[in-house]
Amino acid sequence: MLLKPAGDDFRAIGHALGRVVAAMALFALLPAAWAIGRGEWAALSGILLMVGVALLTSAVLDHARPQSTDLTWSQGMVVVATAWLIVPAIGSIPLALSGHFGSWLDAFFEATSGITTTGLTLVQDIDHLPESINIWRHTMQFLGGQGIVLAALTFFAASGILSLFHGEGRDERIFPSVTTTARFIWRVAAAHALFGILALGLVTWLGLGFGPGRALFHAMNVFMAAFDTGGFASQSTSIGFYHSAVFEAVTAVLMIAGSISFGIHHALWTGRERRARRQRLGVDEDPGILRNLEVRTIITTFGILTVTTLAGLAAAGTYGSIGGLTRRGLFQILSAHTNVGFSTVSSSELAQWQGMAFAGIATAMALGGMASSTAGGVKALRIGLTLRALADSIREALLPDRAVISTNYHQTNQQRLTPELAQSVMAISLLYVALYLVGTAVGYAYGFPLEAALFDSIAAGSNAGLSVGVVSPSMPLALKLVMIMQMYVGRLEFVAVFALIGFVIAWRVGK
Amino acid sequence: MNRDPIRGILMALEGIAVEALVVASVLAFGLVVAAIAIALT
Repeated sequence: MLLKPAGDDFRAIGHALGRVVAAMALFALLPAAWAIGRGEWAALSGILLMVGVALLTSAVLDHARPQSTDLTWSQGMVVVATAWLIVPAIGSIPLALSGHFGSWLDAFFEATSGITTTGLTLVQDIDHLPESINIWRHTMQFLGGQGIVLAALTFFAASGILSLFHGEGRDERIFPSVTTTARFIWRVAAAHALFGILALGLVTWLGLGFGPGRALFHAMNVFMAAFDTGGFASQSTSIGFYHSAVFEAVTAVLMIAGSISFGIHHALWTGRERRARRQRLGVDEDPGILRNLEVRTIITTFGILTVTTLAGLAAAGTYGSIGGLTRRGLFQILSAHTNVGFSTVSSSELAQWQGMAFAGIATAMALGGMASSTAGGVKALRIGLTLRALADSIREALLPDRAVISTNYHQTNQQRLTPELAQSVMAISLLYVALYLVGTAVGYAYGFPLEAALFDSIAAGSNAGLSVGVVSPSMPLALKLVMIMQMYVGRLEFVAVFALIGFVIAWRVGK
Repeated sequence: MNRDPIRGILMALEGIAVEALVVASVLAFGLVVAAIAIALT
């Protein structure tokens, strides 16, 4: 029997959603300030309209006064799933009004692509898009990558927030308190923002001869899209626009930083102190991050896919020199595996990457980065655990019936791979495959070549955002809707979306 | 987390330095793979 949600359930969900929308309005101050500085008044009016709608929505929702603001698990999941629909809906207002989108749906697609850190774009004439609108696109990626709900809870301290944390795909708590963990996540972003904007700004200003204002604009945007594994760019040629190997290298550092889990960030930051403390106390040697299952998995998959892609490009003779092959091949594979979606080659050039190179890039996107990072895709932890579970099944088949197999794996600390965990990991991995196939089938049905339909479908479902040309303002309406669904479901890793569907069903048929 | 700001910054820098090192190793790995791939084809 399904329990029909009570009035207080709706009030608690509405109250939390109000806070999320208010946090979004707060972040719109950045593009608004830029629009004032640059005198982009038309763009400013669109941004202010969005802020007005957000504040009004928040004020209305704030009237919902639940008995307790503590959220239950299912309420939290519903908040996350609903917030990730409301935020792009409101966030698309300035985009739609900019005149650079064919329809409101295109603007909603763009906002969803932004907030889910995908990077697929339907903007028309991007090179002439007002700077403040461009900054808003990138701010949405930053907000989405950090976790919009997580952002809200750090600004407006709330309780009962563990489910919000999990709903946005962060399974790892570095500190006992979620709020402390959320603060650490912000601290990591702040440190990388300082380093990234400074380094990219200096390269563009002193190295490429941009003016200081323009250098800051590019540095901010690239930082937000790289660290939050978003992949939007301020111009049609993405990172290829800069023609700078140093710029690409700094971007690569940010892309890697964005795709590693916050548990690993914590280990990197505190490694030396922790080792010293353990030595002082005479505790066992710290196993170090190289023992971490997820780190081992990602090193292995990255190594295999790099060899596959570069060998494929070399065999096809796409790039003749070692330097050219390394620079282009490596950047694309890194961008795909970290799920960022930046490119240094055009989508038509990428479409020429056939055979092994195609397989390498597409597989890298599908696998994605680490769990509890801003990257999407199946994620290295699930791949590692699935392989461990498969190995266990083989061992079980080979050993006598009475043998008991118990598998531990190292992920921040020693953990046990239970049959329940293995089952849920495999179910989610399988759902990702299904998600990739749905978009492929629809794209193929509309007459796109199978390879292209598969590539762009994986790009949407894994929130990677590289494209070989299927995604364009002229693509069919149904395909746009399917890709919006793929980006949304892929980013929330299914669970919160299923909770929302369950909530709606319980509301309709529950007793 | 450490509340001393200077030590906090140093810890952050250490983390970013490791990430830069990872990129350098990825680049070295890529160059070796590319050299072998071109030599073999």
